[in-house]
Amino acid sequence: MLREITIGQYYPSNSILHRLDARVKIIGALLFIVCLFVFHNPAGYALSTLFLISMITVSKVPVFYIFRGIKPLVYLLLLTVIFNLFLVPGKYIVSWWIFHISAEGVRMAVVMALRLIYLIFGTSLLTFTTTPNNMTDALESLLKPLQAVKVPVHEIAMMMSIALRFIPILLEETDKIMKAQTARGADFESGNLIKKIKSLIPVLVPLFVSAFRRANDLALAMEARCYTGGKGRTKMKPLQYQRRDYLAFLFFCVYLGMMILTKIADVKIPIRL
Amino acid sequence: MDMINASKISYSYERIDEEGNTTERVAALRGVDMQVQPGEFIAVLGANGSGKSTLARQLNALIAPTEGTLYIDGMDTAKEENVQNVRRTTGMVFQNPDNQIIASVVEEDVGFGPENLGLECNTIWERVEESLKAVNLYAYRKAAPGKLSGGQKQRVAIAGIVAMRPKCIVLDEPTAMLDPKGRREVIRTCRALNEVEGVTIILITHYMEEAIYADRIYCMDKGQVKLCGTPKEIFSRPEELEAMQLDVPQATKLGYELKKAGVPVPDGILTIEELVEALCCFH
Repeated sequence: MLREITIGQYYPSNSILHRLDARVKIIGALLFIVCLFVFHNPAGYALSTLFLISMITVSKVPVFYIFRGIKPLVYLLLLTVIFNLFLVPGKYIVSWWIFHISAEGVRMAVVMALRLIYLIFGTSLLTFTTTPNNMTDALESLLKPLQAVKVPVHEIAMMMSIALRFIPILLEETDKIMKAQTARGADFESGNLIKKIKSLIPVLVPLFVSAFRRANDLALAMEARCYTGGKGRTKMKPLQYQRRDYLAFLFFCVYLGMMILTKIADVKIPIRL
Repeated sequence: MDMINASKISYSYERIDEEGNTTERVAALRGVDMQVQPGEFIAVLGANGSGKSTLARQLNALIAPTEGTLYIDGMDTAKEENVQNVRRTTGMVFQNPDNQIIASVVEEDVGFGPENLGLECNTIWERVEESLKAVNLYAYRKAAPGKLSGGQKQRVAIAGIVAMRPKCIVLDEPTAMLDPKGRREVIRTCRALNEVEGVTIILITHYMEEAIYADRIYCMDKGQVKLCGTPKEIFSRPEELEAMQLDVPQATKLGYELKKAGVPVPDGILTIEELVEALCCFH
């Protein structure tokens, strides 16, 4: 099940999008998401679609990879569509027993589904083209202003990167423990949900014990290597904006400008399907 | 100046119950003396629980002695203001390679120490390159540590220490979790660092074969240094070693048994080659 989740996975390639500064990409993705929710007119959606398609083409990430990102969220998507379809009041176009579907409902359902799918596409495009390390570095740099209000930005970024480093190790360990417990007669497959969850306790306890031991070891090793927190630390790979990053910013500005234009042009026409 | 000068250091762990009272004191070190000159290769041998890991942590100022004094390159480790400098002077490599690699890319992990020292970006890159070359892993600089073998991972850890340019490297059972090939790689790297770069090496191990390359060996038992001398001196006393639950290298053992059986082989044979040579002299 864990392998099905493609959100948060990196797809190695050498496209322009991959080479962009991660900060630019994060800002771009945020801008895209905000635009999705602020400019909900047909022209806006058309523009978003165009933007998304061009970005996916530039990224060189295979389209089916991006579509796979929806898979774990299919139920959430269905739920949203169904609720919107049946519960939005308005002029009913279909009525049967207690179910009524209004034109507004259909519109809302389509809009919400589109929004969610675009949201997933946009964010997974970000993670497909950005290594986890670049991402944490970029977040650290973007959140730096928060240091003024005593948010331990460096520490949070360090924790994130350590967590990322230990995910495969702990997964492997989980596998090992499960095999060891199976060899001793533990049963993880049969029974109902509650029984299954209960049967995970003999896996979780040793996993936690070992995770704490690892954390202790790692802390010692970091201390031994003169780590004293973010103060006085330099960066081996400092983030620096290149020409292409400024161009990307310019491109985003154009996108935002066009989005605003669609809003101004569309403002008098009530949105209808 | 001595690289390491320990006189009568003791350390005890406290066992604390839920209310925070000390219920028990477990003495891990009892009056250890140790003098190490710059550039020496020292092996510390000892069975489990003999206090050798505690000694290693003392050398890196991760813990300070509860009694006695410990000077690293002239700095007293008990003084708070010396701690960071002591850690710059003596680097430390731990047992589990997975638990001491911080970054998800080899070169970034090697750069972690220099980053902490606050070096310039260019200097960091120079040092990373240099130290990866020193442990013969330059080709793997972009690899993910998880994809490397145990021996390679441990060499990454060593490179991470070398990049901080310490005068002395303490290795706390670096080979305990490795296969024979990985063990050889790590020991070869240690010897190269010692011989080429002149780094003082303190190798803590329970593999006797690894200790034969050392200039001097310290044998520890129950928190005390019981024997100290050159490998030849140490390994010609197999009975005393056995009393400490330590072995002698196989070639040494065979030589010793042969001598007891009346074959006139010299004392303190360390390698198979030496033994072969000694036996061939009879013909």
